[in-house]
Amino acid sequence: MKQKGIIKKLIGGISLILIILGLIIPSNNWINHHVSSAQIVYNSRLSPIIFIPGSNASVDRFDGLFKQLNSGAIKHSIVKIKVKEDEQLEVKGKLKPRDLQPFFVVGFEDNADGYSHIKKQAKWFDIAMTFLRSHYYFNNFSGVGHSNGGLIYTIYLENYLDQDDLEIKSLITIATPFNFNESKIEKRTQMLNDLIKQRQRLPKNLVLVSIAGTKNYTDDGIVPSQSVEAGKYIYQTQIKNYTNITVTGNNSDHSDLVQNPQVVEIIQNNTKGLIGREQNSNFPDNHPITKKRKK
Amino acid sequence: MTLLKRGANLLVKLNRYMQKLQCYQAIMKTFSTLLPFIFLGALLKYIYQAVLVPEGFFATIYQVEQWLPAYRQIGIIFNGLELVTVSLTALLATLFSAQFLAESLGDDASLVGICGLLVIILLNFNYRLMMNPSGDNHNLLYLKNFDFRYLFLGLLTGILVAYAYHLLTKLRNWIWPAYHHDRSYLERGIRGLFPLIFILILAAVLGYLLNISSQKNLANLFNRLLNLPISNFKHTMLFICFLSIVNGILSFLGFANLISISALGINSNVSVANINYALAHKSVDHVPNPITLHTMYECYGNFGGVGLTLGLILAIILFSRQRRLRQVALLSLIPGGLGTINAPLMVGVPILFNPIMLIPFLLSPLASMSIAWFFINFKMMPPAVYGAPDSTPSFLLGFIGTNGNWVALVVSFLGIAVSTAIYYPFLKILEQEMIKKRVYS
Repeated sequence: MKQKGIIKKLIGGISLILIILGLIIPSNNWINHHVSSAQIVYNSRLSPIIFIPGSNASVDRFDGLFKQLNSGAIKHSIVKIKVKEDEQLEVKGKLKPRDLQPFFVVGFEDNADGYSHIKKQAKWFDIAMTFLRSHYYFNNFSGVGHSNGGLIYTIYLENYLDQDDLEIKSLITIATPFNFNESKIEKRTQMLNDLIKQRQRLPKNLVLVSIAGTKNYTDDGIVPSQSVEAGKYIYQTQIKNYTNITVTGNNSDHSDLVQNPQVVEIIQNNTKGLIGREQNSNFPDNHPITKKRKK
Repeated sequence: MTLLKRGANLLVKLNRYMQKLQCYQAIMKTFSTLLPFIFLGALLKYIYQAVLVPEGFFATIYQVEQWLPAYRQIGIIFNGLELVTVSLTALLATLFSAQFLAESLGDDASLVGICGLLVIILLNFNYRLMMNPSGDNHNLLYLKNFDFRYLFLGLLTGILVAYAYHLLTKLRNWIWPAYHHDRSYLERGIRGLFPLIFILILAAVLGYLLNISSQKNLANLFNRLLNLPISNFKHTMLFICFLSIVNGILSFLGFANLISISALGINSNVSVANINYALAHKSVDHVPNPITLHTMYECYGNFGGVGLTLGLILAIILFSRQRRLRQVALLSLIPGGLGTINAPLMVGVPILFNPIMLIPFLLSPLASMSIAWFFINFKMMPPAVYGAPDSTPSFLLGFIGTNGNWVALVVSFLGIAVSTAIYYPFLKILEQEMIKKRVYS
């Protein structure tokens, strides 16, 4: 009688262990598989577009552009960051939950023109990027730089970007004077020489579109088109794709270029697959390990 | 030691006092009537959620949809069965509690029972369908307002109706004294009319008022009352413990799962930030929010359901010699051991309104969460970050959420073991009371 009880207990214990193992092993396989697939999908998830305004412009420089980009069904959240001279950050705006392509604007308290200022601003931009990365956890982004903002981007890419950690997918520079106000290409400024010298550090997979505007045949009112074109000495052959576009007609002044409908279209096209994408894409809502649980 | 004994004595006395109350007896009788339906409903519900919904746990890890023929059709049939058995719990609870209480008060039991049934329907009636027939609400009644979550509401309504009927009968007898010899069925009907009219009109008016209120019906009203402000919720251990206790007390009173923990848990912003971080860094170590309602309460304080009742199931199976308790534990092993549906246990033991069970019911989640907190805080294991499929066995949530960390699994089992130990002494008190009751009655 007693022996029977022991056998019964033994069978019960063994079957319990078997059942638990039968639960643990498949669920372990399942989660391992899904986490690795989720990590791959994650790479294409949060992918902000980060804007840098030109010299003497504030973080509100792109408001008109944002209005146009946000006129469709999908509203991108806007976060504006101003880096002060003491390296403190002033953050305005909030990331909406599940917004996969927010707009970040990084501006500077000291937004003066000139090579020494621009170098400082590139360093400040790196500080802002560190902040953004630690708050929003993205590992890839696209960039838009207006005027000197494109110079800050170029210096940042050559000197600060850690390519193992962060990927820049595309960069659009609008009326960026790679040779400052020099209209003759033979006369290279110190900055252009520096940028060319370090150009092999540029990310190899970058797609760059450099947009120039012309009022007449020589400049957009401020920046000479030859100076914009000088970007080819830095980028051409170094990166995956370098395109130079010249925009003419209405709204092709240096400052108006940002709102130029063709420029807006170029920005939309170059961030395609991301901009205008359904915000509630297959990921994360439908992915088993990140989806919302139903009540 | 004497202090402990005195505490145990107090619990026993409280228990005996409550068992003498008429309404308590009516509730217990209601439970015994509802029990088979709750057993069946809980089992069907778990099987449906875990196997027959494509996102369920077993459906996911064993890919049931691939090999089970007529998967969808079976699912639909199960869903219907489960809805009918689970969704009418509160409705039936009203009917029976009113009926049984009326019985012991000496009133017309079946009449009062039906009256209670009508009252709870009236209180959840959708008058807006009549006010605005072209609106988007096409249901006169919502079944989900009558499921196990609103058991307390059902019981309360039933008891109030029975007492109201009793008082109104007394009033009527005072106005029109009864002919004691007349027991014809016509007389019964006519005499029941007076209290019935009062109660039903009152319920209809209340129901209408609820309809035009912003909560729309009685179930919703309670739901909103008990919804804690989610927006300013801080994920600190102390607050998580507080929430666990509140949820425990509510469950103890019959409001199961009324606080929407999942909205605060895996779906909250902090949890989403955790997942983003873990995916970006390809590791669950050093996530920004290690202590959240999800990583603590959902993963380590909720094994087997609110109150960590998996500990009680194990305590009963391992140590109890009471046949009745063992049967309850075995029957709730699947929904309350694998899943977190502990309704059979709540009603079967019962835990509901049982002062002996209250202390371990509140204490064991805290103990288990403290262990998990210790391990996470001192970096001995990572917090559970990734979401698991719906209806995942609760003791695997930590393991799956950490991408298969074995320490998390061990800590889960440790939490269950500690909870079993906490339930054990109270189980012994309960058993003694059960034996004494049987001897004396």
